[in-house]
Amino acid sequence: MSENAIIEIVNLSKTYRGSDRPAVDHVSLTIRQNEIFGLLGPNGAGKTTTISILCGLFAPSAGEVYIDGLSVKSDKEKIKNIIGIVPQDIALYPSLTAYENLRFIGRMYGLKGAVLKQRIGMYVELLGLQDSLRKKINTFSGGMKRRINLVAGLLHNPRIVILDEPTVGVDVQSRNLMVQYLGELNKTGTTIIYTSHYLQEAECLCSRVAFMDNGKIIIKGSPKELISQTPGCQTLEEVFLKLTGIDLRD
Amino acid sequence: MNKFFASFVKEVLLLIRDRAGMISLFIMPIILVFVMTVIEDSALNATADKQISMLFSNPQNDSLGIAIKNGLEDTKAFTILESVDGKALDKQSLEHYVSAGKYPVGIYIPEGATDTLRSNARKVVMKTFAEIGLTSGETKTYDFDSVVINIFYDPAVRNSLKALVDGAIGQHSANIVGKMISEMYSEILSDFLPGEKKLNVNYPTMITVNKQYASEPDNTIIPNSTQHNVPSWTLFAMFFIVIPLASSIIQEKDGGTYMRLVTMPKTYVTTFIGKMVVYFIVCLLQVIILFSMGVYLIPLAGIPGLQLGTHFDALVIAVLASAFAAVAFGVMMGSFCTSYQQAASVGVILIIILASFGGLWMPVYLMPKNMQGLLGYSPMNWALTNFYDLFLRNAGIKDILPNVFKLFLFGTGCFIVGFGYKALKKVK
Repeated sequence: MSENAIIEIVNLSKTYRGSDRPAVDHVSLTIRQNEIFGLLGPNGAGKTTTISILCGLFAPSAGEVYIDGLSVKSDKEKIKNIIGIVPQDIALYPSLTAYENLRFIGRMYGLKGAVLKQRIGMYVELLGLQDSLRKKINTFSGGMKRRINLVAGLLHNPRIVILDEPTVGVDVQSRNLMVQYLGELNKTGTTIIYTSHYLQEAECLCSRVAFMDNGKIIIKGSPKELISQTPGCQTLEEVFLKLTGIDLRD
Repeated sequence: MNKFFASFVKEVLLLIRDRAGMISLFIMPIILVFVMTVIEDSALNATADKQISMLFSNPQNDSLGIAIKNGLEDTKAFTILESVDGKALDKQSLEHYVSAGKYPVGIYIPEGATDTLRSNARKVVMKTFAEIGLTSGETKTYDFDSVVINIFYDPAVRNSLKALVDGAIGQHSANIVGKMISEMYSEILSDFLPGEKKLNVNYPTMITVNKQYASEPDNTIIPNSTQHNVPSWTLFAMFFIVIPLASSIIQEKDGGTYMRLVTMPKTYVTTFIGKMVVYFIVCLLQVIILFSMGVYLIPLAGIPGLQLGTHFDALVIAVLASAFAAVAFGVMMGSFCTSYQQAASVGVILIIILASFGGLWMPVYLMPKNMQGLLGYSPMNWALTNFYDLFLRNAGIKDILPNVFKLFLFGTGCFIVGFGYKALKKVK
C-alpha cells in the first residue's frame, strides 16, 4: 500500500450476472488517511457498486481492494470493525423507535451498557435528535431519518465512514447540519468516503474527488485542481457536465 | 450472546408492532379452530363410527321393553338413555326432546305391553287348538289387541339410522312373540300330558350368520371434529408464519437494513438465528394457545374436548418437529421471494396446496382414494399424522419417529435450499 493510504483499490472490476458490460471497470484509486474523498458521477456510473465492494457486500469480479492493509477478500470480518456504513436507503426499522434502532445497531457492534447509552446520547445531540429518540422512525421527517441513518453508521466510532448519498432528499437545514458535522468528524481523524449528486456540497466538503462514468474513473484530484484544469469551468458542477455530458442517464 | 439477545429483542418488537402479522398468527387461527370445529362437528359425527344417543321410556319396566332395550344395547350402535337431567322420561317428554332436535330417536313402550302380548299369544294357541279339536267346546271368535310401540324420529335423521332402529325393534319383537307363542303351546300341551310331566321345548340355533371381512379391514381410526380440526388448523397457522417471516426477510433486503447487517462484524447469521428463534417460539405459542383451546374451550360449545394422550414427551417432539419444518419453510420462501406481495400470494397458495394434500382441510378418509396417494408428499400430513397418532392411538415416541424424521429432513432441506440460493445470488 502507498504511504499514508488507508484504502487502495487496484484494477477493480465487477460485472453483474446477466449484464454484458461491467458496473465497475478496472478502477484503481488510493484514498489517504484522514481525507474526505468524494466519489461522484451520474446515475449508473458504478459508485454504489464500488462502495458495496469496499463494504464486503459484493465480491469483486477482478482486482484487489485493501483497507488499512487488509484485503476485502480475505479479511472481511476485520475490515467490518473499522468501517461505518451510511447506506443510500434508510437502513432502519420503521416500526422501532430511534433509540431501539440505535441500541440494536450498537449491540451488533459489541457496544453495551453505559458506553452504548453514552454514544447514543452524544450522537443524537450532535445531530439534533435528542427530543425524538423515543419516537418511531416511521413518524420521522425525511431529514430526521437521514440524520438517524448517519448516527447508526457512526455509533462504533469507525476509522473510515462510507456515505452513499447521505443527504439525498433532505431539507437545506438538515443537509447543512450533516455536512457541518461530517467536517467536524473528519477533524477527529476519521476518513470519509462520500458519494453525492450535490456537487456544490462535494466541492465545499471534499479534499479530493474522483468522477466516475460508465464504471471507470475519468478524473480525480482536489476540487480546485479539477476546476483549474478544465478550461471555461468555474464550479465542480460545470466540470462534471463537461466531462460526463448533458445526456440524461437512467 | 449480546448480539443474539439484541436481535431477539428487535425481532420481538417488530413482530409485536406488526398488527396484521399478529392477527394472522394468533387471532385468525383461534377463530378458524373454533369455527371449523363447531361447523364440522355434526358432519364428522355422521361419518364417525360412534354410538347414537337414544331415548327410551319403559314406564312399567315391562319385559317386552327390557328385551327390546337389551337387544338394542347388544347392537353396540346406541347409547340408551332412560332419563334426561335426572328426570325419568314419559311419552310427552320423550317426544319433546326428539322434536326439539336434542336426540335423534326415542322409543316409548306402552303400559301393559307384555300382558297384551301374552294374552294375544294365548288366544292364538287356543284358537289353533279349537280349530283342530284338541279343546272341548265350540270354536270362538278371538279379538286380538295390537301392541303399539312408539318410535319418535328427528326429521333430520338419516334413513340408514331409521332402518337400523326399525330392524332392531322388529327383530326383537318377533323373537319375543315367537318365544311367547312357543311357551304358550308348551303350557297348554302340558295339560294333556299324564301326571306332573311338563312339555319343555328347547330352541336350537337354526341359523348361524358368519361375518367376515372379504379383504383386510380398514383400520383407519376416524377422528372427531376436535381431534381433526384443532391439530389441522394449528399446523396451518404454524406454516402461515411463512408470510410474516418471509416478509420480514424481504423488508430487510428491500429497506437497506440487510446491507447494514451484512456489513456488521459476525452479525448476519446471529440476527438470522434471532429471527428464526422468535418465529419458532411463535409456533410453540400457537400450539399452546390452540391446543389449550381444544382442551378447555371447545367442550363449552358441547363438543368433545381434545385429549392430548398420555405421552407428553412424544407430543413435545411432534410439536418441535412441526415448528422446525414451518420455520425452515418460511426461511426458504423469504430467500426466493423478491417482494412482500410475492411472499404473500405464493406463500399462501403453497400453504393451501400443502394443507389440502396433507388432509388438513378434509380428513384423509373422506378424500378420494387416488388423492390419498398424494398425502405422503405433504409435510403438513406428516405432522398431522403425528398428532392423530398421539391423540387417537395414544402413540409414543417410537411410533411418531418416522414422521418426525421426515419433518426434520424437510426442514433441513428448506434451510439448505434457502441459504444456498442466497449465497449463490451473493456470489453472482
